[in-house]
Amino acid sequence: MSDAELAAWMDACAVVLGLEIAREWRDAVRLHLGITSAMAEQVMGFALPDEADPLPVYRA
Amino acid sequence: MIDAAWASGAEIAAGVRRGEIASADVVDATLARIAARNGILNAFTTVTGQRAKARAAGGLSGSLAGVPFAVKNLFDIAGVPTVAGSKINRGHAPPTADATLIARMEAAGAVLVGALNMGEYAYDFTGENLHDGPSRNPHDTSRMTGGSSGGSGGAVAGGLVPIALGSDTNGSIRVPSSFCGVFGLKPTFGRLSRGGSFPFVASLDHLGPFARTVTDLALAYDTMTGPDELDPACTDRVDAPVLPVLEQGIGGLRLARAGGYFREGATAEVLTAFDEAAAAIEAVREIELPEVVRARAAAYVITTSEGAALHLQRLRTRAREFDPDVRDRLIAGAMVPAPWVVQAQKFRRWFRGAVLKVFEEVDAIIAPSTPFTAPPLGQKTFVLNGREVPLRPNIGIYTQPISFVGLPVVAVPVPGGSGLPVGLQIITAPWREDVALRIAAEMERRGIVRAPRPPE
Repeated sequence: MSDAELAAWMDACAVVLGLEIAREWRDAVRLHLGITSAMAEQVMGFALPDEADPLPVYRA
Repeated sequence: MIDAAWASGAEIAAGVRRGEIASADVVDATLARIAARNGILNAFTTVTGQRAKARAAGGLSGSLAGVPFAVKNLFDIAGVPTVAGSKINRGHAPPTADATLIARMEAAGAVLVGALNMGEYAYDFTGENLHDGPSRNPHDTSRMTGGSSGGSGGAVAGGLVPIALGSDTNGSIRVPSSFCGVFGLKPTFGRLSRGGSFPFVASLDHLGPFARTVTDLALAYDTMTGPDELDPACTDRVDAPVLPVLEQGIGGLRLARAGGYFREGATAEVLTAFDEAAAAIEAVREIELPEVVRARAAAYVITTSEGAALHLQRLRTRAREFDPDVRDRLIAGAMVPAPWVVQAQKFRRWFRGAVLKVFEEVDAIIAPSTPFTAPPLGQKTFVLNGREVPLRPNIGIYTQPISFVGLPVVAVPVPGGSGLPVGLQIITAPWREDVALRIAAEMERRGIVRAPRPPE
């Protein structure tokens, strides 16, 4: 995602969640959104069947 | 009299039970050690001296009779606010009861002496804390303890207490064990009750002990197991105590070493220590866990989103009172789309199945705990193979995929070439803490692993 797209995501969610993001925090939050979306790309890139439920009560 | 700085919990308890040592004297010596050393190590944030003296004065019995211990400051201590490394929680009403694990330790005769420094809200691998100052590594006080249970690692390595309790969501017991050169046990997810502790990520939070010997780790662990209605994830299963099996040795166990991902990004010093220790117990077979990069990514997504959900109201109203490093990550975590989190949870089940298949063929996998030894406090990057890479995101790369599926791990210290300790993980199948502890005990008997005593 581009910096502009990350910023748009951040600003939209801030409204939805009622979060105030001070000007001096914006670069760091955007950076973390970028890292998180890269991590999520890994996760979403794994094909799971429709039947693949999570464990409702997780058991190791 | 015992060596107040370095006696093990087992030695103290044996002395107290035989009447050779008074528990009151042990507590006094421990409080004196803390008073003398904590100004340097900054491991303790609260010392519960009066409570400890009152308890020890009565005489104590049990498997941990008179053994001093301390807890990461996210455990409830009656009458002491559960700060969880934060500024905000200082205003919380103090709990009226102790956390389940504290109560179980004390039921066995142990004596709580205080609460320990930690990274804010446990979202940390460094052991640095903006509000309380960093916990300092006893082997070199200019270096990190590792986090987030930094005070727990520092207090045990620095000889302030023989046993400490901490929490581990992505590595927060195993990382400080590694940097500080002590033993740590991150049990199976659901094994030890989280009742009366401040949470971080409900899907991934574990609690466990730190110690300087495998016997102490096992003693504390055996004392703390058992069902608890206060923690919905806590198991009802009851397994045999592990202490009696520590002497069994490792004959017949199928030992392997982790390859691929678990060798990438490590310094030569860590790889050498890892290879030597693995070779010494003939862990020859190299295993590559499948999809481990994705496992770490999924743990990251679950952590940031669940952590953010926990703190959302505080982020709305008191964001300026957070450590900025924690705050900015949590704000981003609140913005994670739900399908990502759901997919990460589904993937966790897939990965669990894949890992369980591996454990049909081996009984334990040895892996490094961290890619490097304790870095200097405040350091933001490190040099790997001549390339400068960011420090914080790399500290937990070897621990995070393992806790993601709740596998039990005993973290063990081995000597590194630079003089700083190197930490290894002994990873076993779910509910097989006994196997991991047997291996750690055998390695300790053979002198392969050892908590080194730091200079003072």
